[in-house]
Amino acid sequence: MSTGIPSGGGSPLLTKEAGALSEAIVRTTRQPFLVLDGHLVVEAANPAFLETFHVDASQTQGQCLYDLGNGQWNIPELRVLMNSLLREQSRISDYRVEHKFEHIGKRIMLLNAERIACDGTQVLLAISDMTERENLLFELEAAREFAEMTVDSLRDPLLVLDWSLRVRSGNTRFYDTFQVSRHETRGKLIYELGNGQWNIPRLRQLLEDVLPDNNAFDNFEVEHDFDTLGHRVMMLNARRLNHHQSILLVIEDVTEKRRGESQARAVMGELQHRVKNILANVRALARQTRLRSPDLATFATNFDRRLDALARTQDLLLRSKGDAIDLAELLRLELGACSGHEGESFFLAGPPIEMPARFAQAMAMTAHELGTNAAKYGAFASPRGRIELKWHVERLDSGRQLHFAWHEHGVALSEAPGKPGFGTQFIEKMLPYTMGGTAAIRYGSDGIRCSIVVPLDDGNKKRST
Amino acid sequence: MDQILTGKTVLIVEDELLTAMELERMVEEAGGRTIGPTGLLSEALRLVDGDIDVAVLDARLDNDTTAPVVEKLRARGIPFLLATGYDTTTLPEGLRNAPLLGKPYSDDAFYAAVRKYLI
Repeated sequence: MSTGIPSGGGSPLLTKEAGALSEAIVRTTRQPFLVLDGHLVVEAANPAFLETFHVDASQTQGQCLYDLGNGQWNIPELRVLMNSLLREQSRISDYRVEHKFEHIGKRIMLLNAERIACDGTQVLLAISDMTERENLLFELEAAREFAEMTVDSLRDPLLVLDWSLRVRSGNTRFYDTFQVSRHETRGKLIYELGNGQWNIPRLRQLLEDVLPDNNAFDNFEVEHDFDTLGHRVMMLNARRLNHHQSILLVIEDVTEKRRGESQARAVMGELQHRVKNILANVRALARQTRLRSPDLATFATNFDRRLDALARTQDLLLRSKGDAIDLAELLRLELGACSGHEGESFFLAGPPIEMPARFAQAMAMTAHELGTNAAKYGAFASPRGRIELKWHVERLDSGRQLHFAWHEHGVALSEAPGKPGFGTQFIEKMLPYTMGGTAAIRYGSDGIRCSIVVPLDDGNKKRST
Repeated sequence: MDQILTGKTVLIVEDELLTAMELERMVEEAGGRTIGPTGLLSEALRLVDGDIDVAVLDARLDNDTTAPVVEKLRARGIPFLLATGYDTTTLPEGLRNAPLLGKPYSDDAFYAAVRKYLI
């Protein structure tokens, strides 16, 4: 069998042995190989060609290149190339051709060809099938792109380290969060980042002791005070990649989350404290009311209405913007509950006063006791009775003071008041105890008068003596 | 009621009037004499320097904690009791590890705490 490799000619080098050697090389190489004549008719095809393109020798030999395999090699690009080879160039190197073959699908080939002018024109055509390699390269590129985009789109900071713990790269989030640049971190030991701020003993232990043995760690919480960022709580996850010889370190900044959790705990603690205080107050209210009630029925009535007053203040606190409550609104609510009618049996006159929670609560309890008294024995119980409630603010060097007056009119006091009851004691004590200032009750000729002075600014809160 | 507080002067620091009145009653029913009550920190800091044997305090007075009062009590070696709605985990700084009586407390719970911590 002749491969048609040129073996004649006058050159002493082209001996019979050289021809046999050439034939052997062509036969044994894994690279597809064609020998064509000057009309591009196949003189020989090597086994690698037949195998790669799924053809047999009889279909190939003596055929024009373009007719091979039902004209599958009739590739416009190849025609241009071969024409140029036959007429102008003697050699073509690494010409890339992409073609879809009927049976074997898309192939990417690198063509190397040489024209030899002896015994007429001959063309050697070597065809390298690059398809697998290009596919692999493409997959590799796709994998690289996927990895890079995944890393960069992560919402948590991520560092890629080599096994000696030097930074290969980080994601945008890392650079933003820890205020360092890509440029200044590349190739640095992680412990050197940001002036040694990452030289954290716990992190060293994790990276140097835990990771090599376990190849991974998850959810290790590390607290650290950074020079630039202050105190940070970080959740660390890491993976040691054995093929890539690198370490992925994901750093979740959980500082805000932990702060939120601790705030929530504080709020819950405060809430519990308030509830316990309210319960203690209710118990005290029950005990104090019981001490001054001659019988169970009186106790029940008085306890119920006082509890109602406490509950109404809670409602006001809930409804109010922030914690401040308007004085006039509070008085309307309390006196309304004692069957008073504004404009008929009571009259309000004074500027808007915003009362903080504790003040409002004490004021509500005071107004409630005064109102209850009026409903039982005073203005609300007399046909011609009415109450004037007036207040104004006085400005002193020590701060503002609220002057509040409760004047009942048209009440005939049938008898001189006896020993002061719980209500009276409560009225005179409640506001001074809670807010400072004074409260005093007098029995006038046509009804009760109560004068209250309350400091409105913290600076002049002083217990009256 | 056993007169377990006979001869003792008790400082009461509590900013809720009703609760303070109750403490007064309970101390007096056990034979004690009361100083205060007060719900103001400045007043409490003045009274704590006076002639007192024991003290019952809330942990918080409106926006203040009673930690400065507790500090003075500890310096003087005066037994005291925190009667408060906080528990050991939520107590303000400076008050942790103090003898605690949780609100709301009954008379019996109060006297038990008095026996345990104050006499």
